[in-house]
Amino acid sequence: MSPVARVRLLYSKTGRAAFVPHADLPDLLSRAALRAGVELERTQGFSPHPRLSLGPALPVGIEALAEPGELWIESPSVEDREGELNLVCRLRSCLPVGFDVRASARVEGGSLSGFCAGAEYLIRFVSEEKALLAGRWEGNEKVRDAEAPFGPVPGLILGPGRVCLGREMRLLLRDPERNGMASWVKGWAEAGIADWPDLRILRVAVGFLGPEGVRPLLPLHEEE
Amino acid sequence: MSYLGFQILYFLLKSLPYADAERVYAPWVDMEAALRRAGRPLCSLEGDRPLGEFDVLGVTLQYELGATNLLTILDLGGIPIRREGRGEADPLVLAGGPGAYVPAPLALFVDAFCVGEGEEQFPEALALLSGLKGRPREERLRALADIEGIWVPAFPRPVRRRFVRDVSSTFVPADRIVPNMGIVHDRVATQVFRGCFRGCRFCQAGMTERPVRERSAESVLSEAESALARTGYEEAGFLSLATCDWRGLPEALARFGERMRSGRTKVSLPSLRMDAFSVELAAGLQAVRKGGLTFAPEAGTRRLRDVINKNLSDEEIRSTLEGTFANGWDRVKLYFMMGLPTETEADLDGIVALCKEAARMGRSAGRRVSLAVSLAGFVPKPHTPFQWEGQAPRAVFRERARSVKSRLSDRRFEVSYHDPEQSFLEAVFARGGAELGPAIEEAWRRGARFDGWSETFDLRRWEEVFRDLNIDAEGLATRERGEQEPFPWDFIQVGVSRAFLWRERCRAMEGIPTQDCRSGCAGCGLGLICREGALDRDLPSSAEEDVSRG
Repeated sequence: MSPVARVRLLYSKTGRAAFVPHADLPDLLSRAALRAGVELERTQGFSPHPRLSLGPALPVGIEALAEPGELWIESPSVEDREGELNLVCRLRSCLPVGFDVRASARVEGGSLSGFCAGAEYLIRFVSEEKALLAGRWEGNEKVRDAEAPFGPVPGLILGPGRVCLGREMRLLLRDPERNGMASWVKGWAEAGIADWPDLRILRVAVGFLGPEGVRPLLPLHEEE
Repeated sequence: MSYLGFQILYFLLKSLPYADAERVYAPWVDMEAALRRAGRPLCSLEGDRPLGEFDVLGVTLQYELGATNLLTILDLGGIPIRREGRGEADPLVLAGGPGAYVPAPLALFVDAFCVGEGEEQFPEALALLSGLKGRPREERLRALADIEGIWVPAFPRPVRRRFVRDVSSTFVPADRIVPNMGIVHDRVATQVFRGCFRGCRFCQAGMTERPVRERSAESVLSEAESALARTGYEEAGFLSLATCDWRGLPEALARFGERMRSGRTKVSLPSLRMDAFSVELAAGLQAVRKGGLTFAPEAGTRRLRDVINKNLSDEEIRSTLEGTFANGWDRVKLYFMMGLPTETEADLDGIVALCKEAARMGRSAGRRVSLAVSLAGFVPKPHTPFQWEGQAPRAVFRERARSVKSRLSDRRFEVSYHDPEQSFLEAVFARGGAELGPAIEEAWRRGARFDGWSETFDLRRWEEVFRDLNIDAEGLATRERGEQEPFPWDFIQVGVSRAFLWRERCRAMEGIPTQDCRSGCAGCGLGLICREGALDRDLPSSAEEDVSRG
């Protein structure tokens, strides 16, 4: 039997795909893989299922550009980088509308969750006024604690991990498994942001924390 | 999403050179509110086009309580709710599915009903409409009314059900729409035969979907394999009204065996019959292995099972349950109906006794069993031998359900019953006629949505509407009809004759079972077209025509 290839992916989830719950992604991805002719390794146990692993859950309604995930590929065998890219290319063509693969690499070593130190969000408000209104909300101790400090980045500094540029806000949060956008959205709602009609949230990346924001776990394909 | 007919018709329409199809579903109440707040119309999923821009809106009527969803879709889509209010530019609203066998309550809203299996007349209708594009609405409706199997309320005439004669050459979708989230029946469904041999007297599909038309194992497997590869699903379901009756089943499972043994593909079977064969079969299926087994004895005593023609002896039930526990299952679900014609206390005692015995058998097989017992209120359905029956009043349902529940109170049993108020409204819609149209509209205007869902269902709203419009809903549901009394669905000829249904009703009252169609012809009115080679002959010209019984 050929060895199983563990392939890490960064995928985007945009448009209506933002409304597909995280819990449904394993089935969605393993079905897409099968459609692409890619067989995943099966987990052991009473009810074996295709082996894959996903990064921190993305809440419904938030779009994302580079979410990490890993597939354990049993067949076809992945011999080299070219084979891997071919396979990813097939997988991309079989993903539902709104999903795409933006980076891939064979990996070994520690599990995905160990690398997901931070998440960067881009929030676009319906107007600059709303952005400033949201910017004035200081948050409570808990949400402020979750902010990861930016280094010198352009924009109006609102907090250690909050920068405003026009009607957009960049937000840098540590430990995405534990810290999400929910408390922020709730706080902004109290400050007069009328929830979804007033804002659109994008998770730009999940990965390593750096002074300029989050560095994705892999270089994006178009950057290679 | 879970409905196979929808998938068949979707891909069938997409295969036509003169038509294309996009999908739309009734939005849940929060989405409806969001669309109204934003002043946006309901749009198709694929092309994001407002419904009002289409030539035809096709709706599947799966269940009596879906009526208000139709109105939501029309209104949000920018289409006038009443057909009379529609102009030249509005889509024609076509409806099909089981609801089209009883179209009168929805005739106010639907331009044309497709009666029977849509593969037959739907493409024909669309070809015709494609040729008449731009012609006046009235001309298009008249043309539709001339198609066999289509009933147009504006130009009413009796209509005969259309059905596929040769299932080996009918359209089979190679593909399936794959949902992006978990759904009910989340697998590749393949229909293995249409119709049913059994002739249970309460079952509408068993009467209206005749004759039995079986597919070969070869054809079913090639469809399933293609759809599995193209969807990425890992489970296939062999669907029918009674899959254990499918003659291709042993071959299909044997040939599917290798895929199943590798653990990568599972097969599930709905509706297991209570016999040893079914249990052995289920024991070989991994998908069925993990969960529990579900059986439908329907009634608690042999006497009542004979009344409904569910030919099932106490001994068969016992040996099935024994086999079930011996094969290692400890979860069993049993379906029963309450309020069946001639039901007495003794039949309810029978349900209790049967469940207790099942638990005892489980214990003596050394298992800690759990038994889920489901009680549904009987709804007398049109086009069945019980169409003359009245439904038991709600208070009776409630009392009987409580009685059974209180006697199965220890924790081995989990007794649930279908909301008697919903069963009541189902009966009103199943048995009522055109007078219900304005009531549906009014209830919808007062906020009725998703009446088939317990979280949105509110009978009081409906009762107020019935009272305000002087509709005797109680009478519609509970009154027994006379032998010669006309029904609001008389003009729909499904093929089974009224004389046969009445005869079956008389036999029911005497507790006489009728043999299944495999053992011999019961003279249902289809005139032996079910016999091999006879399917290319036409239906008898009148549904009243009855073959003489030998």
